[in-house]
Order: sequence, then structure tokens, then C-alpha cells
Amino acid sequence: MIDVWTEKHRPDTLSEVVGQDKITERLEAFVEEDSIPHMMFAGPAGTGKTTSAVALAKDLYGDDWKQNFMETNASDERGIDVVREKIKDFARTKSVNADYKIIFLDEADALTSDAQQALRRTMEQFSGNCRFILSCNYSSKIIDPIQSRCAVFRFNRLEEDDVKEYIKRLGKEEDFKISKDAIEAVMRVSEGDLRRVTNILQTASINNEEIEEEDIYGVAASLRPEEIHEILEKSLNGDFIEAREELADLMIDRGLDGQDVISSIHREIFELDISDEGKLEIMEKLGEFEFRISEGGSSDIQIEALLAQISNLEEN
Amino acid sequence: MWTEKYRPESLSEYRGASSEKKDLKKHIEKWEQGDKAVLLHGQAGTGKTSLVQALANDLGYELVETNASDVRTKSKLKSELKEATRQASFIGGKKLILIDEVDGMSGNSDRGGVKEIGTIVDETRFPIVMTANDAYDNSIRSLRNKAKTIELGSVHTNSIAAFLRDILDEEGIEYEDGVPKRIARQAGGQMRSAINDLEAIARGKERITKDDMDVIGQRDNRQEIFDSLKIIFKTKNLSNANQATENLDEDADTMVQWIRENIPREYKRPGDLSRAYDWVSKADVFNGRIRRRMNWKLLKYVYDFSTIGVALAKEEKYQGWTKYQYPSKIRQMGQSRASRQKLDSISSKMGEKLHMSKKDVKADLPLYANLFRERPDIAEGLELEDKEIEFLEKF
Repeated sequence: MIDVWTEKHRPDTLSEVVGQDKITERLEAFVEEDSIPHMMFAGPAGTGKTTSAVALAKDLYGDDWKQNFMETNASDERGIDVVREKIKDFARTKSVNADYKIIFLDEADALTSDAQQALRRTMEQFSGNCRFILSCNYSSKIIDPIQSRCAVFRFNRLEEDDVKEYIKRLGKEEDFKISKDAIEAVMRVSEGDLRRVTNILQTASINNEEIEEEDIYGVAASLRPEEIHEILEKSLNGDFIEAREELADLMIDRGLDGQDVISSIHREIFELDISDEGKLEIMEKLGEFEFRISEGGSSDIQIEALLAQISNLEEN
Repeated sequence: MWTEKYRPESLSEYRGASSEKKDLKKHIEKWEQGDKAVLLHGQAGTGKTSLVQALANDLGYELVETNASDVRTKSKLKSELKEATRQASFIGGKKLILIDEVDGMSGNSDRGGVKEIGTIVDETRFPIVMTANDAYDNSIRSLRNKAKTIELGSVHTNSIAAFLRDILDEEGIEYEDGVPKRIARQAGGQMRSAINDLEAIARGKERITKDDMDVIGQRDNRQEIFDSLKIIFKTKNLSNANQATENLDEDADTMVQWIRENIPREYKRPGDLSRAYDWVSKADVFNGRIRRRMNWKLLKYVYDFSTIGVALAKEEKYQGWTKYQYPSKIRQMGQSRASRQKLDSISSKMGEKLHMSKKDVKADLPLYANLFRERPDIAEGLELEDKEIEFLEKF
């Protein structure tokens, strides 16, 4: 039994998905008619893309959903050969008590354009017995030929009221109390990401029967690596070598993703004790190096180069 | 020639590339008319042809081979290769068609050849393997689309060294410790060059020593990289910097790591540091472009930017001696391999249960670690083992 709340409270049916009523209504109609198109779910993290895909499969296949539904994450397996083979192997076997199966390709925007080209052909080849659901943060990262084969659904950030409603329900079911201020704090630190909301609440509730504002900030702080702030400070003070070592620890030993480090840096810029012009200058540089990563650079070298730029900043 | 004499006769004799081997074998065994061809690619001397020959031997298929030394005009291909892909083997068994070096088709004399090969691939009754150094060469784009691509990476130094030792044993030649390893290291991942070098040194001898390696111009790598670094960091002259890596036998990636490691050890002025890093950053972008598109033509820029760029980044030369160091990234990656693998397998396990990517699990790991500390039962519910839970404690 999985007792992580994000799983425990993941809806089993489309009608229970939080805050995406228009989309889930459409999906329910597809289920009703037993006719599913290829689909693309686009939207930010924690808005219900994966949940909707799983709920759709459960509604559609009932007890056979696991045999007829394959989930694979493109950010874990970018290599098109892996994706292609895994997908093909799954597609080749027969569906159980259904005309077609569903292949859910999560974070499809992590695929290279070459890989997407290959996927496009695979989609055609197996469209007889397979439907594809692709999820992504930005639909613009998916090549047109794939987009044009999909019904595109945009998952918007959840409305505040929906999230608050959800928090209250969770409190009832899991037996914790939470103050108004704490709810506001959850909203702020989670930016409408329901998985984050859930994870933070579960962690905060372990030690507190009544969750207060500072409990939330305490939990959220553990997610925002202290080190990033230190690394930036050290760079500003010219301790470049030390800053570089800490960065390597974070990325190599703790396995933090380059993109996450960049997002944290972006957040931390606002907290630095320098002039506003200085902050803007760092942002500009951060943008340049993030762009270089998207052009093929490796995140560790590019972020290090940013630190070198920052260490040159103050003396001017 | 030893490269011929010691060509592997079966897949089990073939060193390295175990997953690629399996991949290729599976594809060829299961191949039916209409399935894709295979495009086997990788730098020269990684054993593409040997692999196909060993496979044909193992499966008992007749190998029909054409390579760049054959004329491959449209009409020639039509009359010879196409026939071979239509008719059953004369002994009645199956065939494997090897079209070697498809990226080596000559534009003029082999006119129409690529297109004809495309037709042959479409219509063949037997499985086809094509090989290429550069799978992303534009001239063979149409073929790439018809093929399952399998890449052979460079061969690991240890695998090469082990094979060289076997050859020496077989030839009854004694050797000073470390010689096979040195030859292997110098071959830069190419089995064929290593065997050729070995033959040049050892043929007809009873025993070989390090001194014998002079004939192939052996130099100590480590010393070499220090020399290059010294030039790059100490000069402000374009052509000096340009020549710094001329004799350097290191791949571009490793060289960039050495330069990156030592920039802050030499360059103390923040302006120099940031300019130098900017050039390394640009070199790294080109490295990435090469990796993505296999466009090796771009390699010169990696060298230009990381040597000339870094050299000219300083306002003034620095006096004195600097102790250059081994790249900490390479060291750290080595040291933390075990724990990174563990982290990866835990994230993958949790990701599967929680519908998350490994990357997202890793980002939220501090939360989960917190949770598991208080409630180990939750970790057990995710089927994490005691050791894995213990490992997470440190987060």
C-alpha cells in the first residue's frame, strides 16, 4: 500500500480530478463513446496531466487498465531507440478487452527533435491499435507534425479556490488542522502545483497536528537548497573556487538537475544584497547561459561560467 | 596482418559493446522482409565491419559484402548487389548483406548510388547492415531514415589492452608490464590502430619494452597535457595558443575539463576569469552541437575557443609557477559513481510508483527523506529496501 499522499489521493476517475472541469468533461465524453483521439496535454507541473491520463485509462478499461496502459517518461529515456522499442513492444501485444491501448508519454518536450520525428512515424504505424497521450509543459516544444495529429488540451494553473478546497478536503481525510495563514503560505510556495501542495502538507503534518505558517516555510526551505544562496554570495565575494566546489557537490553528488539549479538561482537573485541594476545584470547573464544549455551546452559548465561572470560583477 | 588474423570470428570473441551486440543480433534474427535495415555507425576502427562478420558467422548466414573500394555506381549496384538481395544463397541458406562505408560514397563516380541503395534496402529479401563513420552526414540522410541506427562507441582502454595481451600471448611475445596498456591508451578508443601499432612494434620480436614504443612516437599523456596548459595559460599570442594542443592526444571533452579546472588557479583577476570562462562556455556549446548532430566538422571551434579564447582572455600575463590539477569533475564523477547509481535507482523505483520522472523525484528528495525518517513504513510501502532508506537519511 502506497502511503504517499500524492498517490493515495490521486483520483481514480476523471470526475474527481481537481480544477480542470472543462477538460475532464471532454475526456469523459470520449470514454462514453469509447473513442479516443491522440492527445496532447500541455500545461505547468502539478495541474493534473498525469492524473487525467491515468484516470482516463481507469475509466476506460476498468480492471484491465494496467494491461492496456503504458506510461513512460521522456526525461528518463530520451534515447529514441529505447522509446521506440519500448513503445513498439507494447504496441505489438494485444490489448485486453479493448480495441486499442494507450501509451502515455510524459514530459514529451524532453525529446530531441530527431526523436520526435521518429515518434511521429511510430504514431502512424500503430494508430490502428494504439492511442498516444503526450504531456508537456510547453506545446511549442513539440514539432508541428505531432501536434497536428493530436487533440491539444491546455491545463491551466489551478484556481486558488480549487486548491483551497482541496487542502480542506485533504485535512478532513488525513485528520490535520491548518491555519488560514498556513494555507496562504502553501499557496505561495507551491505556485499552484498540486503535487507540491500535497507533498508539503504531508511532510508538515508529520510533526504537527495543527499546521502553522512557519511549519510550511520550514518544509519549503528544505526544498530550496540553502547552498544556492551561498554559492551566489561566494561568487559575489570572489571566492570562485569554493563556489564552484559547492555547485559540483550539488549537481554531481546530490544529483540535482541543471534546470532546477537554474530556477533556484533565478529565485535567489531577488534575495541578493546588491543593487537592482546588479540583479538585472545577473538575470541577463543567466538567460544567456540557459540559452546556451538549450543550444547543447552542458549545464554544469554553463552555470560555472555564470558564476565566473558574477564574480566579475561587483568590482565594476 | 594482425588486424585480419585476429578479427573476431564470433560475437563471443568480439570485445565490448555488449548491448549493441545484442541489439544487432536480435534485429537481424527477427528480420523479415519490409523491416528496417541497420545503420551501424561509429568512428573509424571501432569494429563495425568485424561485428557484422562475427554475427554472420554465428548465425551461419552467407555474408555478401560491398565497400568503398568497390565501384558503386547506380548501374553497378543494380547488376550486382541488387541481384544478391533477390536470390537465395547458392547453398540455400540465409544471407546477410553488408554495405560498408555508405558515407564514403563518392559524389561523382558513384553518382546515383545512395538512391539505388535506398531502393535496394526497400526491396531486399535479406537483412542489410550499412556502416558509416558519420550517421548524420547529409548525403546519407535518406538511408538513415530507412534504418535502425546502432552506434558503436570508442572501445575502452582496458578492453583494448586485454586484447593486445591476448595477441602477444598467442604470438609468444613477452612484454614489459604496462606496454599493452600504453599502446591501448594511445589508440584513443580505436581497436584497429592499437593492433596496428602493436604489430609495428612487436612483429618478429621475442620481447617488447617501453623503449620499443619509440617507433610509434610514444609520449606520456599527463606530461603532454601539462605542457599544453602551460602554453595556453602563459601566452597571449594567437599562434602559440593555437599550437598548444597540436600534439596532444586527448579527446576534446577531456581537454576542456583540464582547462576549465585550471582557469581559476591561474587567472586571478575576475575579468580574466569571466572572459576565459565565457570562451570555455562557448567551446562547450560546440561540443554539445557535435554530440547532438555528430557534426565533427565543428570540432575545430571547440579547440579554437578553449585554447586561443582562454589564452587571449587575460589582460596581462601572470608571473610565476602554477600547480595545475587533475579535473575535479572527472575525479568526482569517479568517486561518486556508486552513490549516484544508487540515487538513480532509488529515484527510478520511486518514480515508477509515483508517476514521476527521476529528475522530479530527485528534486523533491529532501521532502521524501524527511517523510521517511519519521515514517519508515511509507518507504516500505514504496518497496524501498533498508539499505536504500538508510541511504536517503543523508538528505
